[in-house]
Amino acid sequence: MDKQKVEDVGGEGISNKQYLDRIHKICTATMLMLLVMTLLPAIYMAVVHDGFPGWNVIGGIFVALLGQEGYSWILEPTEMFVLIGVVGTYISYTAGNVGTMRFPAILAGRNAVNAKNGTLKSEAAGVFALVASVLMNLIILGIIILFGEWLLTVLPQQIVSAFDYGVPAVYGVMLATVIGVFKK
Amino acid sequence: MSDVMKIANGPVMWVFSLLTVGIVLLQAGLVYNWTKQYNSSNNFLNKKEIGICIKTGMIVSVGPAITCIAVALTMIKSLGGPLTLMRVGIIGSAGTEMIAASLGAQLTGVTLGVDELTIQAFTSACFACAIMSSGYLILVPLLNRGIGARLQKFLIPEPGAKKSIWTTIIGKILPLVFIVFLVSQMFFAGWDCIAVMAVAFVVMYVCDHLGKRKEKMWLIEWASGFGVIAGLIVGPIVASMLY
Repeated sequence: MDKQKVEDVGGEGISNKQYLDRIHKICTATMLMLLVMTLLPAIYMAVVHDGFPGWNVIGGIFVALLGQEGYSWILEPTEMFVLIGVVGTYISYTAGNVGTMRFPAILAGRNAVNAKNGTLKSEAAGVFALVASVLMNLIILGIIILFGEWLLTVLPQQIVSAFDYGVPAVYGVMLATVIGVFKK
Repeated sequence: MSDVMKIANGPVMWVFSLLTVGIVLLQAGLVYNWTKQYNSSNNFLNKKEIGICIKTGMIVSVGPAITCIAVALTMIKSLGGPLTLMRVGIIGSAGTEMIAASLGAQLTGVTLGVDELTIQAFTSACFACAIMSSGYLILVPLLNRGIGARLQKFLIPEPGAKKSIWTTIIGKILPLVFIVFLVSQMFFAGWDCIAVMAVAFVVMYVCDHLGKRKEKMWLIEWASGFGVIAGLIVGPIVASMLY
């Protein structure tokens, strides 16, 4: 990183407070942008294509999801927070797949550089691994969307059925990582 | 292709979808850049270690990312490519998004994958997915700024400050409890899943241990990848023997 940029943001070094202040700004702004973006397809369909299903349907969706997800909306990020930190929570709840992809990526990143938990080094290591996992997920998702159907027709059935075991395999890897961390 | 699916796969929906993915990438890019500056000014990790973290993060994500292929393809067939990319690329996973979309469509009397998709059902599915993610998009920043900021200060003290006992408890014991909880759920999924977990565990543990002992960095980076690959190979073999 160039010296000039560091000087621009705080002289000798960026403090944890300065770091988190900007993280809050970046992530809150992008999450609000996403909130608008996620509503646009529905609004577009309702207004341009006259597809509005009626307030009773929207109300029904809201009530059903509040019952099903309300608990998760508040408690899940709070529970995960102590495991993945401020930055981890923001990115994980923007990019999704928290338990199966983001948490393992953070753990693996910290483990690979031998970073002790509860240190700023482990936080930074987790963030770099996390950002890489977001990129990888979107690349693979893009491939699935463009070539998924074709891939399923050309790949042998044994390989296709192996895809079902991705989650238990990652859980096995995570267990080994956590035991490694625990032993340190 | 029905008229609704033409709209669902139309250029406007692709624009929404790509913009959404763009925002996710923008956030990741800005956070990466700022963390890199923060890291450089404090020397937590050197360049080589950053590269290792990035490689490891990518490798460990491949397995779970390809796992969603079947559900993602079902979603593409039911709701089109743009909405699938948009929804699976943010917040949820293919499975949870499919559940929300099905709920939305069902409330208009359409069962996804069975009945023909109507404009109202598709719009309703879009609303359901948006409402589901809005809870997280609104509450996560609020929670993170409130309880999160205080917890972070408590759990990860500034260098030189006294470490709390909670740092050890939460840093070491809680991840173990969490992963044991996830692993225990897999015990009900069948012997094939248990075998996959066991093999992935052993391969990861051995590779990581050997890599650290013999100072082979490439082995540490790939340990999780080898673990996942070994699990994916063993799964179908055990399943074919058992079922």
